[in-house]
Amino acid sequence: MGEEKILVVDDDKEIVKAIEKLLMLEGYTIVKAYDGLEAMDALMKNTIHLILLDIMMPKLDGLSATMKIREQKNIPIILLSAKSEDSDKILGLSMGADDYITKPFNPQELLARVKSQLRRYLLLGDVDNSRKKTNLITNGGLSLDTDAMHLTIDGEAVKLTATEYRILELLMKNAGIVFAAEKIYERVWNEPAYSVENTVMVHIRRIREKIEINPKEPNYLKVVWGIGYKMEKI
Amino acid sequence: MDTKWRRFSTSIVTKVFAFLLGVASITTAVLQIPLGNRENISSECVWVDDYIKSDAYHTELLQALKQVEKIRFFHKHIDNAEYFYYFIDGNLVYSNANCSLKDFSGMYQGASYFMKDAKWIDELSGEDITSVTGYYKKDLEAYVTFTDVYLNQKQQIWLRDKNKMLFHIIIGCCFALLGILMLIYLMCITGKKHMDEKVHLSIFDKLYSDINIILLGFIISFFYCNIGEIFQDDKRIALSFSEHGMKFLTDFQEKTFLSALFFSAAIALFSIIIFTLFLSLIRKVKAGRLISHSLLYIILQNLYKVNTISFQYIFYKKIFPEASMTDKLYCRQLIMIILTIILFLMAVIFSMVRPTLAAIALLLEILVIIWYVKGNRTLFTNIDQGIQENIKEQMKAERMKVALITNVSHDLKTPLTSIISYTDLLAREEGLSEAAFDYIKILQTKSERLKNMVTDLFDLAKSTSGDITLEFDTIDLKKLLEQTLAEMGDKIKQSGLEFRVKLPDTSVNIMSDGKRLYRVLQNVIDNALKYSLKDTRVYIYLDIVGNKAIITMKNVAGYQMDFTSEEILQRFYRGDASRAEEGSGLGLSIAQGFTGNCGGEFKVEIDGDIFKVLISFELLK
Repeated sequence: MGEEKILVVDDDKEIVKAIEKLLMLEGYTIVKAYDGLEAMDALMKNTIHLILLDIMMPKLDGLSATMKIREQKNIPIILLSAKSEDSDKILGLSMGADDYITKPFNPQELLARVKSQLRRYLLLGDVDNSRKKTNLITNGGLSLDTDAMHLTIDGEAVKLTATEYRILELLMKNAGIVFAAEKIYERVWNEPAYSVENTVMVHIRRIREKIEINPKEPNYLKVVWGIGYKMEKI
Repeated sequence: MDTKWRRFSTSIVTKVFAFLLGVASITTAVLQIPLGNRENISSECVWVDDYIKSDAYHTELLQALKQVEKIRFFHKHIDNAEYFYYFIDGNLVYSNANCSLKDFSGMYQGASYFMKDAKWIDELSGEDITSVTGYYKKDLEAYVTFTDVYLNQKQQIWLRDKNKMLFHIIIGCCFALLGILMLIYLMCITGKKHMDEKVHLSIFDKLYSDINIILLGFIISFFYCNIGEIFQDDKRIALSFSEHGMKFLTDFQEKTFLSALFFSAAIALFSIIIFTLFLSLIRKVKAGRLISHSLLYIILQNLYKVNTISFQYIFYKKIFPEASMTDKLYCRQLIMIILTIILFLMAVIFSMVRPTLAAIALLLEILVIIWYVKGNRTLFTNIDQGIQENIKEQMKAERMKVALITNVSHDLKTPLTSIISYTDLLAREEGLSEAAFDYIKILQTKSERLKNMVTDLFDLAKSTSGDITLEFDTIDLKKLLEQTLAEMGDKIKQSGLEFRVKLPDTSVNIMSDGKRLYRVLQNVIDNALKYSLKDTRVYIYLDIVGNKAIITMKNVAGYQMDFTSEEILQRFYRGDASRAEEGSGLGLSIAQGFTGNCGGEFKVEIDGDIFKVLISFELLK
């Protein structure tokens, strides 16, 4: 560690300082900026591995900055915002950001997300392409080796039960498609489904606890309320 | 007794009986007229006792006279005639009676014609018979007379006919009287019923009274005319054996029975119609609706109403009491109308006198129209601008409200981020005392709660301001409930409460935003978990009632609920006054707001210790 440089951008100096402290305790090097233009400057001068970017900032706001950075670099960008609406999240992610954290955030969650993004970027970013296997299903930081029946998240192995694996395999193979509980049950258990919502939901929750940073606000495995479940395509 | 009579007199049976009796009586009475005339009986016999004094005898005599005149010049004689004639022209005698003049005069004195001064004279009345003229010598003596035997015979027939006729007349009068009596009775009781004094109208009374009167008049006159025709026909037959009369007579005799039947049926029908219409009129008079329920009255009334309304629109200034702008419009309108009328009259007058001046009036009218349209245009532009500005301002206010919510939320969240972050950093500091660590723990939990409250407040503000993005989709309410319960499974287990869930077998599809609805159910269940009495049961039902899906959640409160269902839905209202429990107190308000946003209805009912939440949605068809 130590060589990973993180750019923290926020117009609130105390917040920048707090994040700096938090990340320094974890051993990261921090570069600070207080608005979008400063961030662009800092990005030119330093080799940055990850950016934590506030959205509501003077001079150049976070979304525009994200777009500009994406023109040149592929480094992970985590947006920080007080806007908590789904539409804001979707907008931020579609602009090219890799993750979205709403303020006020849980410091532990912030750390976890930063670590996850860095791992994905540093470990897999280049390696991924070279050893691409046909039987490897990837989605965001998740990669499922169907031969070894093995799941890694941002390069870290995760233990799954057989049922959990089968559910995840089904959903990952069909990422973005919504499955009703009955359908999941029939495909995974190979039995006719009768009032299985609870059974399926319990498994989904368990998987979520294993693969999500914040299981209450999942990034990957989402509940489509009143319809079913799906793996978000990232 | 009185009520008994009343009940009897006003009963439907009595009424129908009286009606039918009346119709039958009138029919019988009217039927006497053709029956009386049937056998060529002259109605004269009613008032003339002696045949020889009747017009009928005169007619017969005249007939005989004409016949005699026809054949006299040929010196032929009529044999076997009922009458005798005697002409003496000097010494020449022309007669069918084999006796002298003296004997003839002695034998046939009485009703006869004789010649005097070359003129026929009626012996009885002494009048000239002008209808028979010819060239007669001055000293011509002539007589025409009927035989006594024939006259006696005639007189007997005459008297028999008189009796027959009188019989018909008496019968007719009696039945007519009965019919009229029935009619009067019906007039008295029509519209009345035994139970009250009100006038009851029947369906016939829906006919407008003026139409009723016209119809009645038409039918009566038609009836009268046709009866009169037959009557007159018969009279003519009696007076003269005209060709037409003879034919009619034979026809009539052939079909006496059939035609009498037909005739009575026709009269009965006519009388039924007349009775009905007439009684309807009487009922209307009794109800005081004769005039008010006439077509003419209604038309006039409506015409008046329309006129008053249009009159008000044009001339009544106060129809726009709060719009000062339209005052001008009203004035201009009034001036325009008055000027137009004046100019039109001018144009009409001038066009008769001097057409060039009429053209000037027309030109002026065009100017008036231009002035009117121009004035209106500026007014409408002003109104348009006013509305536009109003809308703009409203939109601005709306935008400001949304911006305010966003900004306030941001301004609250930024310091909170610092608080949470630094508390976390503080917790990582080494060498803190035990007490300091406790304080930090408290700071952490309270800042967490503050965070939740800010989030809740923001959600509520969005849901009530309507600035909320919804993703509507077909969702299964049953599935949603199952998912929510499964998602909250751990919490439910920890609470120690027993959940009794009853869901329908089939899916319950509605159109809504699943994510928001999950939030609603989560809040409601959270509420139940927080405030239920320990070791009690929570009931959750999903029912389909009509075209609605209703989620019912019932739980027993763990404390006395001394608030109403309205109060609990108010923002920040907390059941427990101490507010010791965690939570923002916005849970149910948010649930209500989101339910409304999602197109459903959220209700809270409190019954003793039972707290009940009802969420209903319209089913998808």
